[in-house]
Amino acid sequence: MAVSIEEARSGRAAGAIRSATASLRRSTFATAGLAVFAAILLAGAVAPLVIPGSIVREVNFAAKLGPPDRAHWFGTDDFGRDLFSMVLLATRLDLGAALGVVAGAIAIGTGLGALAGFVKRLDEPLMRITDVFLSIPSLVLAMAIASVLGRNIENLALALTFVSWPIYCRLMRGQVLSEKEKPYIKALRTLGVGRAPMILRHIVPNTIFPVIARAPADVGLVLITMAALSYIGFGPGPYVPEWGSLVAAGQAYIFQAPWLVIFPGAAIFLTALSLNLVGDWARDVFDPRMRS
Amino acid sequence: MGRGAEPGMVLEIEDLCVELSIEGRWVRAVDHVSLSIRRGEVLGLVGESGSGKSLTALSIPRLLPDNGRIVSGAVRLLGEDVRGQSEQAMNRLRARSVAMIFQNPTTYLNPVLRVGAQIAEAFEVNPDLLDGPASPRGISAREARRRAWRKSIEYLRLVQIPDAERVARQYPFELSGGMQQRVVIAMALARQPDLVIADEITTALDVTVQAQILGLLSELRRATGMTLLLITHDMGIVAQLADRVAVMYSGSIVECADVRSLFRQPRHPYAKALLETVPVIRGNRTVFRPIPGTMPPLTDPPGGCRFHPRCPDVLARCAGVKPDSVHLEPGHMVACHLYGAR
Repeated sequence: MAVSIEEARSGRAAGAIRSATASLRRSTFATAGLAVFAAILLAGAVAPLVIPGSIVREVNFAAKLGPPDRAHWFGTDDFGRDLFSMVLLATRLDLGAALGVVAGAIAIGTGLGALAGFVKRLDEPLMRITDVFLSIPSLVLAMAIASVLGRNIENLALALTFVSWPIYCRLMRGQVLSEKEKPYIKALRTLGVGRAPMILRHIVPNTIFPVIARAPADVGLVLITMAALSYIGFGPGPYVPEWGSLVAAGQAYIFQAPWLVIFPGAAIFLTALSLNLVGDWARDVFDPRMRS
Repeated sequence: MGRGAEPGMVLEIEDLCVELSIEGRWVRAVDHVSLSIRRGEVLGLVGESGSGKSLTALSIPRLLPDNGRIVSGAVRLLGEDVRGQSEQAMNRLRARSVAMIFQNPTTYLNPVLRVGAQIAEAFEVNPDLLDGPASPRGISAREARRRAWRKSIEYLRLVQIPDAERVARQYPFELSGGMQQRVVIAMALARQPDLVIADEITTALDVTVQAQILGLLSELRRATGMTLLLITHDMGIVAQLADRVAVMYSGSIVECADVRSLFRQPRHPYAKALLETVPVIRGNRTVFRPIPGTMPPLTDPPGGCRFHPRCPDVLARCAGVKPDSVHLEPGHMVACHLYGAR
């Protein structure tokens, strides 16, 4: 009859999931956003399995700038490659990088933020470093880092991670500072609970929700920023399918073959839109300040 | 072993002075307090809010608020002065020797952790508390967690929670205030502490639940022989649970005696007045007498005996000289000029 502690822990989020599904049923936008995002995620995962990667190097100038038709749904680009395949192949790269950037930023930001909030000695130095990062325009900083590291998608993601963590650091610090004063933390201190279990088991699970609430919309934002940086030339070259560089390559032919800009642009737009819708819903569910 | 340590004493506080920083000024909030508790004894520490009883209690695990400091005196836990301990050693003492239970159980439990897991934490901090065949270091982490969970359920049963297996899996918000307070008590007892400090633990509960919790405490005392420092402003609770009482007023202990003699014959005018605040039901009329005036602010205490502006038996020198502690008989201490002259 006795329940193991693993079972008890694994079911910790059951209540949150229940309230999440309930609020999902109430909101059509959230459902649509989640459905579109799931479809994009699936497409991104499946595309590399069905589309051979070699097509990015199959240059066929005879078929270049072909309009959308039955064989090429999105038309062909200036190298004569199937744009539909290119856009689909780019999904995994773009979305994967954006998710990675936000995951990295959350890991670094919440880690340092929790430390700053909890350990008084580290608060000043960590927050001043955060201030420095926040005071430099992030786009400029990311450009600087990306150009120093070299132009590829990994370095672009690294640069964006580097400029994205301070927001989470501040958010988490504030959360921890207020949580730290709560009576149960005081009680746990009287019971001799050490610093590490205090932060990891007690404070972080109680303060992480605003971070979770922020994350989906941030993925959308990072995605757009990444596409923008790639568009202005910090992205990978023409042989790596990436939405921003596809748009950049297509703009030369904007009057001649507008689909080159429209379809990759629509992919960016649709992904960011779905993420924003999911983000709104996540904020309703996870941010305690939004709860009535 | 510290200086003056007596065998059998769990806690000895000697001449403790605590100051608080209020608006940039250090003011004396606990003034030369001495008290001691023997193993198995229940000491009631009584006083109005702001009398310094909670600060005295928080000095024991050395967890005064950020604006508080111990300026002098000794707090000996099992003979060792907590003032000399490193933070690490202090944390071991907190984990094992002294447990505190606070007023409002709702805010004293982690809201996102199942109550069973919160009790089980005691066994992670102190793996030697787990029973079982193998040595604590010899068992796997999984086995340790399993035993810890089983043991938390045992403790939930000990505090008389029905259907303990189910309750262990619940979150604090799913429990009533009385049940939450039982969980908090279980958390404290799971560490098998030498001293339990209960700070106004029934104040936030309604009266019937109060009675249940008090009943539980006296039963636990019989069953486990726990040593308890019971902090309250309610003389009724003291009468029910305590062996000895210390009455605190504005940072000092004004009278300390065993419960029987204090209730039969209180000596200090404040103790007398405090006993009269307990409502007495005569026929269908309830009689109680409030103490006129309010406790002086810490920032501007009156000179001499701090009770003298409110004292019905005030003498001329009360305003000028702080009375010394006088032992009227063994175990009965009072700090009042009415008795000092004899």
